[in-house]
Amino acid sequence: MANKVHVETTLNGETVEFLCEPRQSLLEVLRDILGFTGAKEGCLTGDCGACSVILDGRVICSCLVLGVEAQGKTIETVEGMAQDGQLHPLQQKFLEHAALQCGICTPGFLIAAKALLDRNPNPTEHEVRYALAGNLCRCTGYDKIVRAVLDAAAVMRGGTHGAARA
Amino acid sequence: MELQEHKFKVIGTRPIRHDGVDKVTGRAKYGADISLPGMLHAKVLRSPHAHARIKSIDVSAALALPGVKAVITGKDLPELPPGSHQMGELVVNPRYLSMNIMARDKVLYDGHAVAAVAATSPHIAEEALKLIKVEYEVLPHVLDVRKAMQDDAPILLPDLRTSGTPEKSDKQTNIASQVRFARGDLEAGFRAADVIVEREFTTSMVHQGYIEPHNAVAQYNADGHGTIWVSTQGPFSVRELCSHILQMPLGNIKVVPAEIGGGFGGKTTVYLEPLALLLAKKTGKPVKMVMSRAEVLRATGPTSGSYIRCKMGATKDGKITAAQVWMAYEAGAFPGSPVGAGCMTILAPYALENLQIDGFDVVLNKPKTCAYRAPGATNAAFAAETVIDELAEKLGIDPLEFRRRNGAKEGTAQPAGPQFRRIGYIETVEAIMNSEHYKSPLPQVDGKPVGRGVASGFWFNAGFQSTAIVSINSDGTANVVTGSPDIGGTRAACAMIAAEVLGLKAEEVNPVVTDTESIGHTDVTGGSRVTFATGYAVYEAAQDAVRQLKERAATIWKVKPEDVVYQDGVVSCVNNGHEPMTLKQLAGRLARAGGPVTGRAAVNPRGVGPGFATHVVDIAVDPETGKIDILRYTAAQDVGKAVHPSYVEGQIQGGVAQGIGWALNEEYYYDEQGIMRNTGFLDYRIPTCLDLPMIETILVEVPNPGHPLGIRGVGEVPIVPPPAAIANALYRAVGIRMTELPMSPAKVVKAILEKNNAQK
Amino acid sequence: MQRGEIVALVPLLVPASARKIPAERTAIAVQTHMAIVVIPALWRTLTQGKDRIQASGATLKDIIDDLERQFPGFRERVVEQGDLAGSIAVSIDGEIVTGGLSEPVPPHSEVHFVPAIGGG
Repeated sequence: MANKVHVETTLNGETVEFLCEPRQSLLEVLRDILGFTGAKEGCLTGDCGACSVILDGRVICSCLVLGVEAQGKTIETVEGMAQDGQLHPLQQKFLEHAALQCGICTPGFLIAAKALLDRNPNPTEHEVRYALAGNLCRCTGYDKIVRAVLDAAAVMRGGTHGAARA
Repeated sequence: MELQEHKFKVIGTRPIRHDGVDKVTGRAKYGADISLPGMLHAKVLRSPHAHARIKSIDVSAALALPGVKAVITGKDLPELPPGSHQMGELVVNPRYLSMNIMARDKVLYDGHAVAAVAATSPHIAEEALKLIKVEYEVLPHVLDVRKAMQDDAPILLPDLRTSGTPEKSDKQTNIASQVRFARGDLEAGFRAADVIVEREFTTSMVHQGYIEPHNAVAQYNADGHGTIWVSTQGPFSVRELCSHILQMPLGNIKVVPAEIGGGFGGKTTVYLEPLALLLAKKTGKPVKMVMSRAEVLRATGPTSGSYIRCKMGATKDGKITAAQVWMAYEAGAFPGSPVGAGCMTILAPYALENLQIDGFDVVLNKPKTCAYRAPGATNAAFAAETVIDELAEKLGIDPLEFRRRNGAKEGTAQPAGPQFRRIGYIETVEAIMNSEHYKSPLPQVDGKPVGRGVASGFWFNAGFQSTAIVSINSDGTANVVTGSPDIGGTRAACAMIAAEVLGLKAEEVNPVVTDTESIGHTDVTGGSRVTFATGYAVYEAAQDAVRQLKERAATIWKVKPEDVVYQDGVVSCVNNGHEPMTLKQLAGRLARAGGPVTGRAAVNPRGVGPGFATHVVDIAVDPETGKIDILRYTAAQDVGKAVHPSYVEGQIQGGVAQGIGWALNEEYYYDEQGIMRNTGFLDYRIPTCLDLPMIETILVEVPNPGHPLGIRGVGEVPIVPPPAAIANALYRAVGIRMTELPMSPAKVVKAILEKNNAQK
Repeated sequence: MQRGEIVALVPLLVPASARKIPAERTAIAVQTHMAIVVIPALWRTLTQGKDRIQASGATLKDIIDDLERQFPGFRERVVEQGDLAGSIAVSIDGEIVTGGLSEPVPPHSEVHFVPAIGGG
């Protein structure tokens, strides 16, 4: 039995600690140890983006990062996007634009889109597609996803957030 | 209570789907998100050979590994009698299905399941797999569908005999079945033609590519009852298939559908569920199984690669006079390719008097195929729509006009024989002819030839059984309960249909998808059937609720139910002797008026409306790399009545994207040993958002006369035209007819170089 | 960027009972409870190559019994274990029917045996 390592990290603004084996990925830690099942397992080889989370401000595939690497770092997952009972504009626009069908890729897209808009508040359609090319969707053909991201960006630049319930 | 279309208040609008907030906040529970106390994790050992006899399996070292609680092999599954039967949409041979889930004396494809281990962690289970010793005697394998039909091909299933032939044969074979559709006089038809085109096509095996791998969590109780939580398109199918495979009473198995991360037909059968339940029984603990991406590609149910020969003739004025098709589809390791559907959908958009279509279902050493969105139709359309394009071109007729002249209408006989009822094919052709896209000039791209192509497609759509319950809450809102897992927004459509009947807003109806013990039998979510058939059940259940509401009001008012009118959520009395009540007011008084109101309905509806589509695409080709860029895409489809237009558009856009992947990149790549080499999303290349433009949709609504709301299925047709449309566009860009799928860059470059060399 | 365009046609709903019977068929099926059965191509060796056969019967079972009388060996192609074979669907006047062997077959109707198709 491998020795477990004690890890302390910041998850969606809260300090959390956990024990994990060195071989467990951050994705496994989030889902199976901490119970945050928003990030999904799609391929385990970093090709589909369904496991995307933001680690110290960068979008990463949590299937390619070890749980022990979270020590002292900051993690943002989809569960932290809505604040004080209000959906994030990206979440609201995904709903309005019907930018999800089965929804399995949606947490990954929301995280990747958030990371894009955090650094580029006024992307072109091409820039949106480029930034999201690491997230695979099989249901939507991406059309409504791209529209939702562009619309959310406009709302966020305009300073008004859409009405929401979380 | 009659609904009149021009007065729809909810149907046709775009409310936010009811499960949406859970899905955008990560709260929605998919199968792999489920955990139970004391749960074990199980993994599957898979064959490293394409075809081999299993001489022995030694699991002792695996069982001895600390943390391992059970190991099963094919010996642990009951032996079943031979024979097939229909289970809802599926025709199933339980014995073959059981052999597919876990090999018996032979492995038949790279990835075929051989054993399964349950342990306290998934990592320990994987370590244990490496300790299982399997002795194989490797056998010759066959991967090419025509080679598999030869007399000297390696035989996969010694007891398989070809069915459907005029005379019974006792020969060992890989040809599982043969089918033929024929009418008229083929020779006379070809003699009458001014132009004849004949081409051969090959398509590669491709996978549905859902982002969520297969999963199952199973629990077995000491009283012989089991529960399975699973991301599935068909909880009732899972129940029935597990009952057959494990020889357990059907009523002892409860299947709880979790949210599902894509299916497209690939999750209408079982792979892990019976294994998880068996391991749960052996260990006395819940068991969770999740496939890796490589397992999904190697060992679930892709759709057939195929070989198709298509010959058609037409007169100078553009009338098709004859069509002859010969097609062989890969079934994978066990019979059941969609070649029958391929034969019945090819040329379905056209009126033909003289035709002969032959189809062969052939087993070979690849995974057993499963349904993939309009199964069999995309392969067939790739062939026929390319030949039609070539006929039109040789005759100097616009390809859309050619299709319109031959287009099927109400009363036209399908290739399989039955006549169409009211359909909207020609309307889709005209929609594209009149579209902004088709009327615009081709975009120009620096240094790259560009071209525009069109193609049409057809799918039957399905009916089958559905059950629904509509109950009225005491605050005047309503619940709609069905057994149809929601892959693409059908839960919202069901709520909208109930809301329309009850006179409520969509937000005032709670749609629920429930398990096999909480609702009556419901066939799979698939086959473009949910909005049609489950929607039909919801419509009828809501009408039943209205009937009961009228009875309650009649009791309150002491009048006859026939004197009560229910309209737009208000009950009133015909003789105006009583103050009308809103649904909300009446709902608060039900207890004293006779009791709660719960409407119910169970349907197996007829009147299924088939779907047609016509697509146009503009592409650019890089002549040095062979890469094809999709510049613009417009899809017109007869959608009957779009209940929630956003999700109808979504089905079209998603199907188009899959069709584009099928056309340009996706294929199963096997090496000489029969081992699949591209078992991940890096090399099994599905379109990313950078590969596609916005996908324009034109929803043509020709109501289906067979449904009270005019609904037709919409989900499958969109995947049928894209490969042919792109091939036709490529021809107009560089003058090459590609007859092989995928039209990947290497193949396109090769074709361009060959053409250039030939011209020198 | 344009939204999906909806082109609504034929705004009136057509009753499900609307069904047209071509004159050609009424001319052939002159007796009551006679239907036209279109024989699948590979089974025409049984029927000496004929593709359209008149058969009499009020239900599908009766029709199949009559076909068996006319062409012995027909029944075993469509009936398995006392029920319609799972791999076969029946279309009556263009509509896939759901009643199995007890399905009523209206007079003058056209019956097709086709492969049962599932979707994805």
